[in-house]
Amino acid sequence: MKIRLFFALFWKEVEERFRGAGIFALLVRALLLGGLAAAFIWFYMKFAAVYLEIGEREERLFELSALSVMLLLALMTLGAATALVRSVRLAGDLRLYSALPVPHSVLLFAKLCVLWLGRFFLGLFALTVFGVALRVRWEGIVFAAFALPFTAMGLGALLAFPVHALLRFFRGKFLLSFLAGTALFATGLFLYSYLLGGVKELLLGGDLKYFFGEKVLGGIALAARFAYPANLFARLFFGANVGLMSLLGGVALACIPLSLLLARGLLRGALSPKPLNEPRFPASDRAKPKFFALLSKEFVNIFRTPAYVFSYFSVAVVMPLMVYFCMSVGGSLLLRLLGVDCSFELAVFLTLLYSALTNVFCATNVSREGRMFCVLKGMPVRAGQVFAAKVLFCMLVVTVSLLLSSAALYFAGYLPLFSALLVFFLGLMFSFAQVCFATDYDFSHARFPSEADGEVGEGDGFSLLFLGVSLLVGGGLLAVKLVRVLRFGNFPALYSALFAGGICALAALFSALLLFLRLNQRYDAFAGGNV
Amino acid sequence: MTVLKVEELCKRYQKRGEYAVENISFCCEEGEIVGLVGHNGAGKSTTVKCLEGMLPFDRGRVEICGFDLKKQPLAAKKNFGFVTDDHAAFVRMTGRGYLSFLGDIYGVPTRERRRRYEELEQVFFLGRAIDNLISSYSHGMRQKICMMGSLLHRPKLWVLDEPMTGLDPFTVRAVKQYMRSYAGEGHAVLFSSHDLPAVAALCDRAVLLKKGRQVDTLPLKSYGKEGEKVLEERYFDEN
Repeated sequence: MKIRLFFALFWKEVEERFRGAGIFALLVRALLLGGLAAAFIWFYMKFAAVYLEIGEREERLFELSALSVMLLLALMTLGAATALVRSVRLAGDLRLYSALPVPHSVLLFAKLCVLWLGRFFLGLFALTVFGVALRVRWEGIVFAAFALPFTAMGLGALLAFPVHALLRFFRGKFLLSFLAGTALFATGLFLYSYLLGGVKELLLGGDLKYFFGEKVLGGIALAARFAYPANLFARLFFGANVGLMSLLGGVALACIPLSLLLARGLLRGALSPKPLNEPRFPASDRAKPKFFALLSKEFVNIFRTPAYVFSYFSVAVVMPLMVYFCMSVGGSLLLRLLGVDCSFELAVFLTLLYSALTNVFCATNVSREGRMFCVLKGMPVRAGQVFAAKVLFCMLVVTVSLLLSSAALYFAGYLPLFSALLVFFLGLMFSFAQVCFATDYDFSHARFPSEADGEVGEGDGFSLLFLGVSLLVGGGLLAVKLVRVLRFGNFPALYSALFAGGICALAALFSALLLFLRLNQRYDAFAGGNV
Repeated sequence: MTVLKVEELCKRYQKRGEYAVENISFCCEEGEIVGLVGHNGAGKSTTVKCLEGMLPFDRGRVEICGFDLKKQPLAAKKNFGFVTDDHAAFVRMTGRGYLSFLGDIYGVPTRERRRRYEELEQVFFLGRAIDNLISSYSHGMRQKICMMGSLLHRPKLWVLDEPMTGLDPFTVRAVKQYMRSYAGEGHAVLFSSHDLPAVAALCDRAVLLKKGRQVDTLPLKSYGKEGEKVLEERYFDEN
């Protein structure tokens, strides 16, 4: 009976992870994941090949294995901690289970098994790549693939309590969450820029070796020596050691009751929650113009939803950094590899590409409001005002993001002032097209969250569509410039500006017409989003 | 004066499907409370949503204070306030923020909205929770903030879909008293409900729906104390 219940709960947990995703979305997700995996494999193999040639091969092999496993373990542990908090402490289904005859132990076991499996597949993939790249013993890899997820779950369960405390601390502190999220994201990107620098050096052929001087290698060796328990796993990669295997296996096994015990503590807290002091937000009740009220409504709804504020505002704020980092790598790479200066075209390409990736918040302009979108229909507001407020709000975020981005390109000396301004306006037109098109699409295919405070995610299909357009326009422009310069020696920047400007202006006009033409009739006839 | 006039209202959810409501006609006069009564799926909420402008309807006419809902939607919508059955509100706003938003939408001046808020607070008692996020509100509190919001601009017509659900007995009594006094000031109130005693006690007339059709309109006021009995008999006869 308990086994059947366990499997029922287990499958429900698995289904939850794929719920609502259609075949297309799953395919897109698989494609994106495949692309990411391919990039990781390529980079790791290349990097390993270069790194292992520096000095003593045996030492490099051990260091690389130990640090790779350490990084993997850290990633799995952090993932386990946040997944435990989300699944065992904050999940919406817990309230339902508390009223059903479901033993807590079975529920917990099912949830932990799903989490373990997630870590297992991640570990299996990464360890396989390590195994192939470093040509190490397969017994060690297989052993690590099973033992690491248990260890990560145990460590993650320990970390889950501070993670939950941190989440509680940030609860209701919207500005602080936004600043912390943005800072964290920007730091991540800063580190990512190092990775991009590494990719550039790899592409340019082996300059990476010079980065690993005596001092750097000494530091790496020291880190590998103290990277417990990853260095112990690394030792297993080079020779079977029964004693070591028993020790690591014992630790992994000991992590099972540890994670169960701690997760039970988390679950208990979730099933008997203490009343919280609700934060108060005194708001002004002064009268404002109708349009301004609609605009501030858009802001409040996003700013007070942590998931939205990160994926909409933080990403938009950090977008200039992405453009800047890629420009610094890409510009010099093209110049050194092909001898062509195509800063303007590259800037257009990167601006359009990152605009497409960051403007995803407009994809839920209607769905995000849920049933309140229909309630708003019953109020004395024109459809034009409702949608103009949505578009304007998105454009305000976009404008700040693009302004910072163009300013970074200008002040870093990649573009002259006029070109930087041109890139800004091209980005603005492209973003306007994206915002209008996405809003119109969401209006025609609204899918409201089932609960009043539920959240909706932007579809993968939408991101991919505009990514494709930006690649086509920006990438096409870059390709044309490169081909023309390499074959005929010259391609005036004016042509590039006219080409990109023409396409962006047409796209903006088309999308605006698509959204605002016959809007009143469509608004009155709206009955979508499961009203 | 007729505040709400519904004529031959027809609505279906699918183009070739059955009508969810068909040929519904009734009106609300100044100072009147009208109840929409019917079993689950009778078409009460669909009717209410159609005349609130939330759902488009296929045929018929809805007129609010003489303004046609389809031809003059803004003028018509200014004259009514409504509370939905699911108490939808912008849950990331605070109670005060939400009221302020509605005040802006309906063009209520600052002093006026403060005065009305004080007045409504005497009925709904939200207290200090007014500055908390609506997402932290209980079911009943959400219901209260929606009712307060719908009354902020003192609409000529107050429309409520299942208004008593989820409210505590004190608030139910306060809401009933408020409905009476609001209608007594020359406004009209229309509400849908399953609660037959409440409908009989409050309403001047009851519109009885069954499977999307209007089966009767009962002048409850004229029955006096017998109103509840008559309503109950008709309700169970039809269902």
